[in-house]
Amino acid sequence: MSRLGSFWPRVATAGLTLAATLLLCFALAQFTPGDAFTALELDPTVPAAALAHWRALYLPQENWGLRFAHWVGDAAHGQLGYSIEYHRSVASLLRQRIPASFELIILGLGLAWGAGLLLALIPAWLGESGRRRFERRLGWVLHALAAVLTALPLGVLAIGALLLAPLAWLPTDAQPSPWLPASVLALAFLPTVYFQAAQALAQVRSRPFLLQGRAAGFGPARLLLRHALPNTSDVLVPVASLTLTQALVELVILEPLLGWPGIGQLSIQAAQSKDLPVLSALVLLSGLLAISANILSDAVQTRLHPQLRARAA
Amino acid sequence: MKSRRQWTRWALALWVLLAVIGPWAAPISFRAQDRGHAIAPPSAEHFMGTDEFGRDVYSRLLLATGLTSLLAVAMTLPALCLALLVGMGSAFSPTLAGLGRGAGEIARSLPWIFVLVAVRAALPLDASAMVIALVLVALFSVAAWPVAAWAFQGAARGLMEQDFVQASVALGATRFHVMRRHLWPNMRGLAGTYFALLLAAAIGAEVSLELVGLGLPQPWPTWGNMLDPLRDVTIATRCWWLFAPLLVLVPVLLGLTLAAHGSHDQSGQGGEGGGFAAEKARA
Repeated sequence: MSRLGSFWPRVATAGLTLAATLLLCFALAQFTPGDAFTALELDPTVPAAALAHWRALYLPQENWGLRFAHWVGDAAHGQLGYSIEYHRSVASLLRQRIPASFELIILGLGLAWGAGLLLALIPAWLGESGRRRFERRLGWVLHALAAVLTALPLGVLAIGALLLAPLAWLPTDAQPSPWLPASVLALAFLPTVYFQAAQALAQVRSRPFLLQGRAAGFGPARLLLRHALPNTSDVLVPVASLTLTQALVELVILEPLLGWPGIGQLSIQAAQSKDLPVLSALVLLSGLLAISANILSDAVQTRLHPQLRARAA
Repeated sequence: MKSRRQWTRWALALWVLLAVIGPWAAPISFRAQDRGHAIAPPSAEHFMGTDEFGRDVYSRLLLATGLTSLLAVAMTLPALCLALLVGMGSAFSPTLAGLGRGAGEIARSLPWIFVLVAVRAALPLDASAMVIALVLVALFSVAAWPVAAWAFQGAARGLMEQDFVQASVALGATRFHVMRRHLWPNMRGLAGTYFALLLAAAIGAEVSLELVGLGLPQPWPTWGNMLDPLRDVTIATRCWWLFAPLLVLVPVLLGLTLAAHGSHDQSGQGGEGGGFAAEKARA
């Protein structure tokens, strides 16, 4: 009931977020000073008449209300404008770049979550096997390592990775390898995943149903994987949604530094060339992804968490 | 535990001292270029070597410590104040609680880094350091307040249900009195945790944004733009002295992380991993 009660406020928030994102994109594209032709004003070989003609051709002249209505209508049909810098439609440009960024996010977050959960489970497994002293020591070492990793900003991690990476992983124009940026992304998220998973597991392990499992003679693997881990989903699924939206932010830093041709690199290139249609489309896209991640997280949480599932049934 | 806290306090005190007196103690101007000794290793003349323009790394690092710290504090304080206002105010007003949660959800979902990129693109190429700093402060504040506000909301709501607060309200205490005498003293630890966390996040963001050209412009030194030449692998492998900012940056971020854990444990708000209560708050 409480899940159902929280459904409509979530939908309303998602709608408001979408409206705010749309307004922000439009305001950025329309009201910021300068446009894609501003740099050409400094070129003495380009006549002023040509600039005026191009502006009339490519930049809309109607009032802002109509412009907003047309812009939203076009965006709803997947038409996100035209990039003068790249001489192609923004939609086709994004279609080319999005798969590369998704590949990086899936690989990086997959590595971070796999390693983070494993590192949180190993000390818990030692504890459930009766080796409490080893659990404490390993837990201390892992906490210290995670704290050190937290103290390294993403940009510093990327520079370190460039220095230490195998030659085959270094960025090239021909066929860039995703392993270097994915490893850095994984290292950036590993401490968060590890801390959250370790804390959630520690809380679940102190609950009565696990004590009952221990008394019934369940082994450590069954106790942790079958009973403890699913009951951490109320904490870990929202964290997964957060890491997904945060990964989009990290792409803007990571991709230009490591030469990965995704939307992060595109955003910096678009900023340098004042390509506002591309930037607006990227703001809209990342806003939509964040909203989808939140909604998906709610749905997955209800399915995974045994108590929430029982309540929903 | 006590020695860790003391170590953290000493490290942070040293950082504050360095940030305050460092810029005045620089032996050479941060702008002065010695082109004859560009990318030179440490010597008697240049204690920490020089960068690609022949500028003294030691002098620039001293000023960078002050500038980065000042910018990070300026980015953190508005976010923390807003979060405290919304968090404590929510304990008295369900409307404000609902509005705060909704506005926080929206602020949290908006892709601020792309907005920052777009705003930076819209600014003129010769935008002053002050204008760029103000943009960074505004966007960081808007993006960072919700997680802290949600944690403060939960803590304030919990405190309002305590007997001593209920008794104070029953005796006719004003909202301001309850906030000042009951909520704030019991939320100081949590506020300290989030101050340390947000400060670390602001420093990390500043460093990373500088590396992709979105931070303060040259010649103003910050930890981020001092690390910028290291993007070139050839320079990074040969000029080890250019890593000098890491000597201050890493201990400061580590100290802030430990301080966040320490004040969180001290305030009795949670156990291990308490420093990452930001994500937990959302959960």
